Amino acid sequence: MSTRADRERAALLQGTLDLLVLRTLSIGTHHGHGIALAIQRSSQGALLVDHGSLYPALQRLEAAGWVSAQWGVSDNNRRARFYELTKAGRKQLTREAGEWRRLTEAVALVLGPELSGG
Amino acid sequence: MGWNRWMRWIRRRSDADFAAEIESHLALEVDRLVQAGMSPADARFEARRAFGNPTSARERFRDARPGSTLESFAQDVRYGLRAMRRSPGFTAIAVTSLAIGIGANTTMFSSIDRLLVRSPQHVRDAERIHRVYIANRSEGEDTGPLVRQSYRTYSALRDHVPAFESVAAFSARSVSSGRGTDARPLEAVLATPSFFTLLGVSPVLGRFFAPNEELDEGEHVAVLGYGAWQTLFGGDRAILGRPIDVAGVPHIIVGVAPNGFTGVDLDRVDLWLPLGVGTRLVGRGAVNPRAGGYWLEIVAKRRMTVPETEAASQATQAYRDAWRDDRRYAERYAKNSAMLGPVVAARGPAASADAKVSVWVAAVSLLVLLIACANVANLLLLRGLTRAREVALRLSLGASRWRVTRQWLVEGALLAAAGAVSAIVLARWSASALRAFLLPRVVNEPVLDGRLLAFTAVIALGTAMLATVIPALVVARRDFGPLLGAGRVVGSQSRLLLQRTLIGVQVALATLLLIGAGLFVTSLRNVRSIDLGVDVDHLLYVKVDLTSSGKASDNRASGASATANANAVYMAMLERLRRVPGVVNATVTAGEPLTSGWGISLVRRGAPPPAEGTPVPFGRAVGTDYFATMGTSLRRGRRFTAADHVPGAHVAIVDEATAKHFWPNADPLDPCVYLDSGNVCTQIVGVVATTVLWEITGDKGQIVYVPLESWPDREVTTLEVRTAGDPSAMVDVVRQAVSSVSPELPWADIRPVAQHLAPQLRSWRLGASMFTAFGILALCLAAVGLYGLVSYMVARRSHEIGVRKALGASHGGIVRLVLRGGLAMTVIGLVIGIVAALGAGELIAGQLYGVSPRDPVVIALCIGTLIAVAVVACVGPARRAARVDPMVTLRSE
Repeated sequence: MSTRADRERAALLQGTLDLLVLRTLSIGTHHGHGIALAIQRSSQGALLVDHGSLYPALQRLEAAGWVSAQWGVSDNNRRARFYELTKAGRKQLTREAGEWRRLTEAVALVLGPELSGG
Repeated sequence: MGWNRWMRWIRRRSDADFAAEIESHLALEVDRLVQAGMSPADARFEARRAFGNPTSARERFRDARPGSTLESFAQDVRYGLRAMRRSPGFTAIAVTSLAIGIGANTTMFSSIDRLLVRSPQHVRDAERIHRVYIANRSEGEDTGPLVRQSYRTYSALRDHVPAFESVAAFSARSVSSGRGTDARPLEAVLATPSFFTLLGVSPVLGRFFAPNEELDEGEHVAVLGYGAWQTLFGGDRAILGRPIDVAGVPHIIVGVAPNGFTGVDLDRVDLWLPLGVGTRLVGRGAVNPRAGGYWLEIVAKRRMTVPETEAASQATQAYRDAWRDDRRYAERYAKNSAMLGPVVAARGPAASADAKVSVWVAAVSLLVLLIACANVANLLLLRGLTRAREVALRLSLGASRWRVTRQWLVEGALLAAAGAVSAIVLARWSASALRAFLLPRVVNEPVLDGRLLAFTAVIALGTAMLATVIPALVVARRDFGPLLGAGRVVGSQSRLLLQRTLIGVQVALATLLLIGAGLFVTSLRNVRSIDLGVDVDHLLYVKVDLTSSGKASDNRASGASATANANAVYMAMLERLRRVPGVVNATVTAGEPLTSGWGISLVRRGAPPPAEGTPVPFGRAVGTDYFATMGTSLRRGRRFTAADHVPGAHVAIVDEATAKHFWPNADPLDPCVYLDSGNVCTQIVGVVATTVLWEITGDKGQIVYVPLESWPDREVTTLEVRTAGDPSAMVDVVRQAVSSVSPELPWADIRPVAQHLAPQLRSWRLGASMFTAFGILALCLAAVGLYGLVSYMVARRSHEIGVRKALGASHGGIVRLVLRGGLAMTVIGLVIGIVAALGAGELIAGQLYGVSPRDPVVIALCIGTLIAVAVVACVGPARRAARVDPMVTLRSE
């Protein structure tokens, strides 16, 4: 059951989560837990990844053929599923990252310097 | 689904694998938290909290997995099947409704497809092939398009219409093949060689006719139909060059037509013959470009670049030119024009009444389907109301509205699929029965072909959508929140407006069908009660083609002697038949009563000869006992006696119509009239009842009867036999008697007259039986719908009814209350239906006989029936309402 607040957070993460996951995997293979931590770390704690949403998102990316996965062993000897960016995934990342930049630039233009400064 | 998606679906992950990944995640998170200094128990709790609901994640995993749509669809189907099993009564009613609705359409489609939609088999470029009709406007009368033309018209169109690439003529008739015990009837089509090239058909064996064989002047040739090749010759490939007997003349078989080829008509064809054979079978002038009867149907293939109107006007010009130099016809035909119709006859200007009525019945079957849809929609809606709690629960547990709506659609589709399967089982029987009735001579082929199955599937799909879209929308839109708290369904705000409307629609449609049924039944009764002037119920026609071979001869003398010989054989058969037990009376005629006649002029002594072109009576040369055999009653004077049946007797009997026309104010028993431009006095000795000429509903009179013996050049063609009992039971006995006269006789065509007339009654019988059947089905469906809705309303209002009873409402008062509710819906539907019927009346008027499409008796009967059925449908629920115990309902609050 999803509450109203839940849905808003999901809306915020819709699309961006995929992009962040792809970006994180472009640096190297990770398991799901590692991806969540990496996003958190590289955003300096500003972005908290909802663990419950992460795995369906990974599943979606896998179904789309942008990531591939296989079971392996983590640094502390836990069995974990490791994800890797595919060729198609890399292309998708370039596309989505470009779109994202264009969007944020456009939004920044609309907001103007005084607002973004203030 | 593409290949890649299939592959991924096959290699997709299992639920367990996904669960393992979540477990691994939780373990890693616990490790991290412990490392950060948390106690293991707190860390486990925190990890779970941060993850949220793992079940929900698994749900979302399933939805994100490839092929999830397929899987949840399978789930919907399983769930739907379970729901169907859980309420067998609902399922039975819904499936039966749909089976009736879909079955009615499948049944009609099978015949309509054959009759109206499909081009005849093996015909190429059907859109450029036209049947040529002549619009007859001679003498200011418009008798409708003429189908049959003379050879002169054919040759004019063939030679003088540049717009036509090719022109062909054909004519179908039964011929006798073989003699004595080997004799059999064959369905033959006489056709020009161009017929086959025009249609673009190739033989399976040998060849069709060569251009120089059109007139049958050289060697006699024939082409076998595929069916006849199989049944008569066992499909022997060495058949070419062997002879087959056609009315006493051997024809060499030169080819075999492909399977299913029946020309441009639908009836079976056993044998194809060159057009010139008509000289023997039809008459001496059959293929004479200067003369001949109207016996040919013409088809033409238009050039690709010429528009249809241009071709028609060229054809009209050629037709008028052909008759211009003819003194008798030039003026009469100058206003006639050629018309081009499609190759499918039933779509053309001369469509049979059967075809027209079939279209009506097909439209009616669509109405039945609509009623069934409304019925199922209503049932689903009512069930939706009772299942509202279940829906509310599913929504609150996180099912999306789309998912719940889809569940509804899937259930509708399942019902429709079950209905379609039942319908096909039903149609196997009903569609072949209808085809046997409507298209009795069509080549037999399986009813369940791909087209029929495809049609049924499309109809079933449409039905499923139509029946479920309203209930599904209601589910998708409704606010189920308040339902969850309450223990039972509280009366909703809506007053079941949608349901009432659907019932109203059902009643309105059923009203239309019942009025249609009433009109057709009345028409059929009217047609049946027409006084034919002939008693056809105990009458057999016996026809033996004795003279075909004789006609071929150009020698008139030998032709006359052939006629004399044939007449002698008929007389011998007549003598034999009169001694057969069960035969009451028998006679012979030249020409078949109700089928043929020849014009005979009648001039009273002293009267001026009639102006050229005025219609003359028809003559009929009859043998002894004619009037007793035919059951035509004597009005004045006497019948022919034995003394009249001698050569040289100058007597005649006229019917009342003739008497009235020629002797409006005088005694018709005239001692002297001149018949057939002769100058010998003929005495009118009697007046008999007027009989119909050709068609049951067609013209009556005028006929002048003369003794056969006094007109020796008239050849006998038909024996009429009056039987004591059922004539069809006498056919075999009569055949034995006939064939015992000579071992060398060709096939005798022996048929009850009623059977001969049946095709004329067919359109009314079809309309009456199908409208009645569909009307009753519609009525039942509407009654079931009404019963369901009223029952539901009673159940829902049981509290209110309890209160009313507690406040002193009587038993009868409650019954009246419920009945009033049910009847209100019925009356509204009834009024709408009647208004629609009055509006649509003109459309159907042409298919009726002797009854106005707004016949008050029919409408009154329909109203009575519907009200009575509505009362019956409501009485059960009403009595249940009246039995409500006020104490029980009040206490349960």
